[in-house]
Amino acid sequence: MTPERYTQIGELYHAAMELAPEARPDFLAGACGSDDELRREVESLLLARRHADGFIAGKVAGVVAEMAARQQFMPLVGSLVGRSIGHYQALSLIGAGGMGEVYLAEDTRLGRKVALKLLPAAFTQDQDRVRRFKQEARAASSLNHPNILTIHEIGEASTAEGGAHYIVSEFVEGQTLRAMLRGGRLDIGKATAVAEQVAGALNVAHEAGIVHRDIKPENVMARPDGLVKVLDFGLAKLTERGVGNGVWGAGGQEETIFPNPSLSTASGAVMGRGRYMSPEQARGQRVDRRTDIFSLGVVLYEMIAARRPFEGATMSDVIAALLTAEPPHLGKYCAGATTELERIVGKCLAKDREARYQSAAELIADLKTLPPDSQSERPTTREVMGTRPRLGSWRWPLIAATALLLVVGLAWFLSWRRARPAQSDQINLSSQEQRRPGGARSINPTANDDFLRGRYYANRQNKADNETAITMLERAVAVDPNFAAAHAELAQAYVWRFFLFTPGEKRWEEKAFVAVENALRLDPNSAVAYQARGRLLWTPANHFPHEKAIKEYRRALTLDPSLDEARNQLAVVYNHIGAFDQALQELQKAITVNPTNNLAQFRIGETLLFQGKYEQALTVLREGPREVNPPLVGSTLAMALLHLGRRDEAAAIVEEFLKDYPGDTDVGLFTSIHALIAALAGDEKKAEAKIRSAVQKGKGFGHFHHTTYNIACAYSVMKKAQEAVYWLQAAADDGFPCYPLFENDPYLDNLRKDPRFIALMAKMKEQWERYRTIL
Amino acid sequence: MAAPSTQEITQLLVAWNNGDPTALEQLMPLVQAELHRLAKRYMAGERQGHILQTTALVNEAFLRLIDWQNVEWRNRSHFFGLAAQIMRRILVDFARARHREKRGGDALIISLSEAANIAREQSADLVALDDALQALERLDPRQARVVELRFFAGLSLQETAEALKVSLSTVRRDWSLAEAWLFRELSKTLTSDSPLLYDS
Repeated sequence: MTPERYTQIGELYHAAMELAPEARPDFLAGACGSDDELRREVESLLLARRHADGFIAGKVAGVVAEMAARQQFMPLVGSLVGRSIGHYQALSLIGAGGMGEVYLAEDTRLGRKVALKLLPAAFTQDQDRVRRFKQEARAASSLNHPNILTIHEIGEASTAEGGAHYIVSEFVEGQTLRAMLRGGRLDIGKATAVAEQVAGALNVAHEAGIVHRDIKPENVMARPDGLVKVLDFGLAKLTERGVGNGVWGAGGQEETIFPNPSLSTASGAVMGRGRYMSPEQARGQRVDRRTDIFSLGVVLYEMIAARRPFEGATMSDVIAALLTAEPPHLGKYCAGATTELERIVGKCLAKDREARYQSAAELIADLKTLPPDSQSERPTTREVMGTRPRLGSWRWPLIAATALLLVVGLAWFLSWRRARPAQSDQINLSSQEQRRPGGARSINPTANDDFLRGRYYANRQNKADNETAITMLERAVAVDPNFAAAHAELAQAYVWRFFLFTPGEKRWEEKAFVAVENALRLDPNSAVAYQARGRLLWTPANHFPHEKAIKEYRRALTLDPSLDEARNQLAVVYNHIGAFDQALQELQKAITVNPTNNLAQFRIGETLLFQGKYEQALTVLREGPREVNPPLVGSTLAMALLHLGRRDEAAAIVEEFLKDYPGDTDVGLFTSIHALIAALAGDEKKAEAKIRSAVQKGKGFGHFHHTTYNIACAYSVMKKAQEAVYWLQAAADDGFPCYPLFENDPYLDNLRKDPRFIALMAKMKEQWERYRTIL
Repeated sequence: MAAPSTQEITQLLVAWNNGDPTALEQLMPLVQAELHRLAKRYMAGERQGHILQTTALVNEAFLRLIDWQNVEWRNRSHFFGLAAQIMRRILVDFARARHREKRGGDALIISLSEAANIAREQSADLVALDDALQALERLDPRQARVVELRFFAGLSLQETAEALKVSLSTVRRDWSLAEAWLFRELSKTLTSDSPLLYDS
């Protein structure tokens, strides 16, 4: 339409408006002549005029009203930026939803980035809403799992506008699954890895009696390293009231399957599940853990197919499909979907919840059974080989060479990765592999480099490597004070320092404590921090609290089952309390996770020695680089040789160690072996001298209970029962109550009929039985 | 939220009037904040469902924001011309954002209050209204100005006539036709039926 035409239409319109309505048709017929279009234009405007009164006012007022209404729960989007609440300073707005705004904030006390969810001041007048807000926070904060967003604090602070309630949680850098899905479907391996992690989170929540109720891609975040976080546990719990209060249907009437907007105002609830809801939610029925499994099924389906299983033009159509239709086969959308995958997804999506997985753990178990083939599609190889035109023959050797390089490279990469399983370059972490290198934050590359190298040296138990580790890790945390994983590894390095190398220097122990606290403050789920804490507790000064240490290690391993060092340390404790089978189990697992874990291998040697399997111990101890822990390998090797009657070889090892490591803290231990050798040789004078020397050199040191045990053996060999039992008692009291060793060690055979020994063994057996109850 | 200084706002308005486009960028959030604040107060004072006195609201917003004493305005209506443009932009931007939000998210949102529920439909329609108003500008710029002044600056017919330096009857005629035309245009696209409540 042209302005001229509009003017023409307008003139006729005004003229007609001057007339009585009944006179208008004749007027227009005359004025427009044969221009029918002109007449229709004017007629339609005249008709519109009859309904138009006040409509613009209504539209504008409506939008203003909406702005005002919105302001009640979203005062001014981003209004907190640059301001502080408590000791949190809001840096930027990262999201806003029905229950408030979410800011990226800095915890000014701890200097870390957090996510701060603020309940707007206007809501605090609504006691019910405040209660629900707190309920959400409490529900979420009670859950502790790497795949569940960690809640740091639930707080209340006064601002200029009045009281403000807030939840502070870890800040997850990454994208929501929704954002990931915008890029199209995920490959099956990635999709199942995400589903497995979400199921892991659900499992923990369900065990705690919490149903999420709103599993959807918006509530799942993936970090760049592949770790998945499930958000808003407990938020959905709020909507349960909605269900009961008729949001999903008046008073739960089943025929009202579609939420009627006019009913919604009564409860004022926010419902967000929409297309991920289960049939029971659509019907307004009670929800339970299987509801979450259904929603996860929808999400898993969508990740693989890039569409939801139940689609429709309107929500009503979606709900109809949800209640009655079977989802299309995944194979229709994704060629790589196997029948087993179809079955798993289908079982999640069963309309009858009795037919679904009854627990998230069951789902995880099935996801794990998916063969590697269906976990990752590899169309590239086939495509390249099958569809490309034939290559010139000269290219084949090149391709073969490239392939070989790739294989070698892959093998190297895998071994390197296993040796240090927590590299930050991991892309697809399975739920077993979450090492949480730095928590949800970006890592300074320099600090990360120092961290990775420092960690490598931290668990090599010799003095030089330990010093290197401490230097590097201290540098890592100096550059990046919020580097939780570096604090944790540093704690472990300090622990080794004071336990193994400088037992007299208390400051290392204190530093270790501080580092553990730093690590746990920055990352409450730091498995390495719990591991270090376990080892930190397990000292002579604390009388080696075996049960406490076991608890810490188990906690570390719950958080990260692939933490082989924690298994090593747990096995060490098991060895000391005579739980050899359990120790071997842990050590085997450690080696399975990390075949290059030489320490685990040497510990197996120690266990075999304690079990009296000397030949086997010898074989195990002679494989692998001794410098990883020279005293452990040396002393165990010497004892195994001694038991096998190869006294000279044993003596040679002892001499060698004393020559190579004259100032070592384990000099006492080796000297005690020396004493035993002398006793076995019948040289009592020399034996006594070595014993005195061993006590002098070894006292106060962590391995002193092994020294005292060897001294007891020497006295037993010399048939000095009283002294032998005295030192045995000392060993047992000092953290080495290794009943089965005492029971079976041939060097103690001379004591077996001694009543003092019998009494000691009776007590030890009792204690050993007690330990077995906690294994 | 600290009240923006009237001087600051006035300076920005003057700068914008003098052709500095960045002034508008800074001006918008300040006016928006004040409008929010006022709207909230109005809402609190009136029963839900009652149509807001938009005119009063907008008027008050600007009266509070502008340092009238110290600025030589060419005339009051000139100022209202500017005010109307700003207000229109704010409201339409808001409506557009809301509309996009609903389209983009797949959340099934059950509204939090009756007012918001009514308004939810309006946001989409206001976007359509703005589009139609732009079309009207091309056909008859003065009629578009009349609508803008009436509904985004809250002027009465008489004030609109003064602002545009035309007779009251001209404004009445312009208004009558513009409103009918906009209504008809919007009828073609209006979707205020239930579908707007849901994303599909």
